[in-house]
Amino acid sequence: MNAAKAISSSPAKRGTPWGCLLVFGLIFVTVACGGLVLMIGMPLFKTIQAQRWEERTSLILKSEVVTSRDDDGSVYRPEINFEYEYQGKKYRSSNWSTGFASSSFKGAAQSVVDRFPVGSEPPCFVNPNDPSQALLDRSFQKSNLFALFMLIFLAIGGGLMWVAVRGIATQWRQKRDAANKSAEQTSFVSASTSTSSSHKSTSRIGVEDELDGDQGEDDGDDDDLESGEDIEKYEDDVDAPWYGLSGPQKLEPTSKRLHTFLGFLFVALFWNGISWTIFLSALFKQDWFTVAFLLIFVGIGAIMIYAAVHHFLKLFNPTVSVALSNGAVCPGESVDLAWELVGRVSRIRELRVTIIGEEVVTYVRGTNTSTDRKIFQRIPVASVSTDEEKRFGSASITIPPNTIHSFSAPNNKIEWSVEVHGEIAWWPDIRETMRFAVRPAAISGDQP
Amino acid sequence: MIEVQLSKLNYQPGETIEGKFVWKQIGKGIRFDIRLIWFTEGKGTRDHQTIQKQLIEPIEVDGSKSFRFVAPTWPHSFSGQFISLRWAIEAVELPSEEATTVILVIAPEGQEIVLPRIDESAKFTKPIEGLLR
Repeated sequence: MNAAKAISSSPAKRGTPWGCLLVFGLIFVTVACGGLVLMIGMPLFKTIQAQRWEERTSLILKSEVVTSRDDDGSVYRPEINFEYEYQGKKYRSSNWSTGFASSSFKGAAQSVVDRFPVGSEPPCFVNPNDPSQALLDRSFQKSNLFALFMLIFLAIGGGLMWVAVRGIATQWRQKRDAANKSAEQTSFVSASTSTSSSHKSTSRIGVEDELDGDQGEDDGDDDDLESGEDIEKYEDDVDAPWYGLSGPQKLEPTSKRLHTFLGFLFVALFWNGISWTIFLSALFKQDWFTVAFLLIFVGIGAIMIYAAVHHFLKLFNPTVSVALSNGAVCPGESVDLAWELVGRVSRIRELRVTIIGEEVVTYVRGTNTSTDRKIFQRIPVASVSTDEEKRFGSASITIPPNTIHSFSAPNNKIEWSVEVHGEIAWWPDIRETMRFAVRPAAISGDQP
Repeated sequence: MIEVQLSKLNYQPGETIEGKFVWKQIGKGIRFDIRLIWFTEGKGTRDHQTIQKQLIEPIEVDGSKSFRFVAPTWPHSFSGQFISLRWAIEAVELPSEEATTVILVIAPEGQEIVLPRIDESAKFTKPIEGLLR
C-alpha cells in the first residue's frame, strides 16, 4: 500500500477530438471555396457579362513587362495601359483581361506585351452601364484554371469533415445508447433500493453526485455495510466489444478497399500537387539548389503514387467474405469459420486464414500521437491452394482457454480478428482483416 | 493514517470483495472515497475507470468501516507486452485526492492472464490435420 495521487482522479485521455478535425476541415473547405470563387468564379462571371459589352477602338499607351522580386524569386506582370472613347468621353484603363496579373514565367507576360504594342489600336470592350470598365480581351483566360488545384484542398477538407461528422455521430450514438442503458439500470436499482432502505438515495448507477452517506450510523465504529447501500456504481462507458455480436455473424473488413485507395489517392495528389508545383517552378527558373532539395519531396511523392496505384490494383482482387457461427466467442470455446471468395481465385497461389489477437496502444511522444500493435496470439486456421478450397471453405477453431477477451478503452485495446491472406504473383496480395469479439467466459448474452 | 484491509487480493468475476477501511488521527472535515477502479499500465497512455465507489465521512478521529464491492465480470486483469490491466481499491482522501491503493486481481480462477509472447517470424504453420472440413 502506498499514498500517492489517486489514479482515478487523473484526467483520462479520451478519443479523437472530432470537433477539432471538423474545424480543421472547415478551414480547408473555406479557403478552397474562397480561392475557387475568387480565381475562377468571379473572372468567369465577368467574362460572361463582358460578352454583352460594346466594342470600341482603343489606343495602347503603355505596354511592358514589369518585374518584381521577392524571397521566392522574380514575378512578371504585363502592364498595359490603354485609352478608349465611349459616348464622346475619353477613358483610360489598365485591366486588359480577367486573367491572373502575375506569373513566375516571363514568357506569358511577354506574349501579352507583344500582342498589344504601344501605339497599336486593338478593339476593346466597354461596359455600357459603367464605361470606366473595359477589357482588351474578354475571353476566359486559361491561366485562371491554375486555381483548380484548390480542388485538392476542397477534397481534403471535405474528407476531413466527413470523417469528423461520422466520428461525432458515432460518439453521439454511443452516448445516447449509454444514457438509455444507464436510465434502464438506474430505474431498476432505484426500484430495488427504495423498498429496502430509508436513505434518501443510497445506490445509483451512472450518477456522480456525492452521497450523504449514513453518517448517523457511521460514528467511527466498525459498521457492516449492507449489500447495495451507499455504493455508487458507475455505468461502464467502455463499450463492450461483443455487444450485439452473439450468434452467427458475417464479419466486416476493417477497411474497405475503395476507401483505402481513395485515401492514398488524395494524399498522393495533395503531396504531389504541391511538391511538383514548387519543383517545376524552380526548374524553370534554373534554381538548381532548390531543384536538388525538392527531389527528395518529389521522390516521396513518387512512393505515394506507387502506393495509390498498388491499392488501385487491389480493387480488382477477388472479394472476401468471412462468417463465424458466433461473433462473440468465449475463451476455450470453439467456433465455426467459413470463407468465400468471389472473382478469379485461380490467380491466388495460396490462401491463408489466420486468427490474430493483438494489443493496440496509442501514446503521445512529444507532439506526436502514435499507435503500436503487438500480436500475442496467432492461430493458423487454413492454408489452401486448390481453386475449390479457395472459393469456399470452413474450419472449426478453438480460442485458447486462458486468454484475454476483447477490450476497448480510448488508448488501450485488445483486438481479435480474422486475417485472410491470398498470395498473387506479380500483383498486390489480398490481405483482409475482419474484427470479431472474444467475450469474457463469465458473461452470458450481450450484457457486460 | 489510513489503511485498506482486504481478506484476499485475488478474485473471480462476480465474487464479493470485502474489506475494512481504517483511519487513525485524521483531521476535521476530511472525507474518504473508497473506489473500485481498473487502470492500464504500459506503453499506451493510461486509461482508467471507476466502477464502484463509496463515500465515507468520519466523525471520530479514529475508526473503521467495512466496505463491500462485487467484482465486475470484465475487464479481466491481464499482462501483455504493451498493456497491463490492473484492478485496485483506492482509498482517496478528499479534497486532497491523495490515495492509498491496493492492487487486486479480478480474472477467472483469480489468476492474472499473462499474454504469450509469440515469434512473429514464424507467421504461419500448417494447420492441424483434420481441422479442415
